[in-house]
Amino acid sequence: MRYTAYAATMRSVWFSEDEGESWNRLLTPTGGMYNEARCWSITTHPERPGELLVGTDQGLYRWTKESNRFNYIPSPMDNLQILHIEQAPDDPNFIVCGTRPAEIFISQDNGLSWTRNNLDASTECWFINTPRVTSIHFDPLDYNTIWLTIEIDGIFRSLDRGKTWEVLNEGLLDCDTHDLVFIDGNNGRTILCSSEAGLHKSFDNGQNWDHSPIPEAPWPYFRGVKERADDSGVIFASVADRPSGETGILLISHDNGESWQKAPIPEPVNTTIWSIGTNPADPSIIFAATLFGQIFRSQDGGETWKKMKREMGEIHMIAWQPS
Amino acid sequence: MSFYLYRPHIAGPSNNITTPDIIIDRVAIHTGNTTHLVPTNQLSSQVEIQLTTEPFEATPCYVLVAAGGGVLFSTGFIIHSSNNSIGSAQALVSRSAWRFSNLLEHMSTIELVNSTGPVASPTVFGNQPILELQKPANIMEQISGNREALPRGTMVFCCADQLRQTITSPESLAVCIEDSTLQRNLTHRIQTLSTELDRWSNRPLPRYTVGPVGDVEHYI
Repeated sequence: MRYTAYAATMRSVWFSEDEGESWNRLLTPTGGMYNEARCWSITTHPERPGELLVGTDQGLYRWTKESNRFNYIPSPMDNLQILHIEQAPDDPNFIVCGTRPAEIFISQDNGLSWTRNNLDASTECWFINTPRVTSIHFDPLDYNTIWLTIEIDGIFRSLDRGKTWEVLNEGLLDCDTHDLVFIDGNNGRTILCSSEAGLHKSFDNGQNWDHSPIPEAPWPYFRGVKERADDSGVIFASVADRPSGETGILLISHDNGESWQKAPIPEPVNTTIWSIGTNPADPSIIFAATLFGQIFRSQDGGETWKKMKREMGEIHMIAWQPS
Repeated sequence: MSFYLYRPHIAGPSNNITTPDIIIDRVAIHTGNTTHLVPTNQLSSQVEIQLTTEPFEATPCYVLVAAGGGVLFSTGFIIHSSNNSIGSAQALVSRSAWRFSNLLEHMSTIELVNSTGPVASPTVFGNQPILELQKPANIMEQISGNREALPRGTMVFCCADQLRQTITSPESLAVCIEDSTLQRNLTHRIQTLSTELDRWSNRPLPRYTVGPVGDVEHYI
């Protein structure tokens, strides 16, 4: 299968048409976006092949294969950092954006109009000063339920597609939350949450969280957690010495997070693995990127990894979709 | 939907600095014992503003800002044409701020000082103790029912009406809050510029440059 990989960097979005071996970006005069734009987030949707939504600190953009350019989407977020974008699995016109400061903006008409939600996230944080949205998830069992992690304010949930929100922080050792994974099986639901203080699990749909010590993790700082895009029970977790630190590892679990091993990422990893990109079109193809620009690729569902030759500046998100 | 992203530089009493970005979507001006709401698109932290050649009123203010770590205390100006109402005023707020909680114990020693003219040789127009204005706690109580907090997204300008000036030509304006107890000052200085002023005596057309003329590699 031919596919295109995308890396959101501090110098625009880079494209790879050769399985991550080489990367290029659009030329500013015709590309529709300054090629040193700070890009924080990218998302694709299976019903919109060849389309990419990009969150920057110059606004929201849409790239399409037909136009081969970024088209600016007017929104109230032009002066904010658009850190995460998700489209509803059952409706790609329903777009949720999370920003810094921690706010949620929703469009129900493919970006033509926007509503700023009453998300009562903290407006100030001693540690990072300005809280920010670190992940957005449509609940895989109920697309009307949206989950957020906020750094640094914990876990939020909306049961009505963003109209109202509740905070679900009971039991978290630390509200510096980064990402979620939902495991729905015969024994009910388990939710994993990565945080600055390690991995947490909830067995009651987020009402309570238990810290889950992982002996294989040499540091407590868990950044991303991501399930392989199938029902295999394979989950990845990135762990690092600290955010933007000097090294990190990738953990892999084959049993829905019950046990973990160190994934054979070629070392040295130059800092935290910040983003893991999967796609259900082929669960065996997975990209991982460190915050400081290293790219790793697996073609066997995460069992083995290759470090790609090309390195970039900061990579905040990596993704791919069929070409 | 409209909001303003306020980027304060908050100095604590031990000179620690915090820099949260705060979304402001409710702006009020308290003047003459009345509180007026004004659109957020009239709010700015610009230090240079353009004004028409009409005379304008410049009123120094102290400013309260809702923030998660405690209400901010800053300073600014309300500026509007002498012919227009407060509803059309420009609300100019300093990016420098203090925490209100750090001033509570000695608010009676804090003064607002209004001056004009060059930085090196300003002319003091007047000064007024903060507590001679509408008291901050009273303003907060009026808005939120809480004497030490404001609802999120709220910024309130409290005008020192006695220090209002009518200005007829471009001017450098400064408002300073002096904290003699902690021996620190917070000054917001703005330069007004006439819309008639043109920095180009002969304004050229915008130029265009081609850039590289050959094939540009490494792009798609």
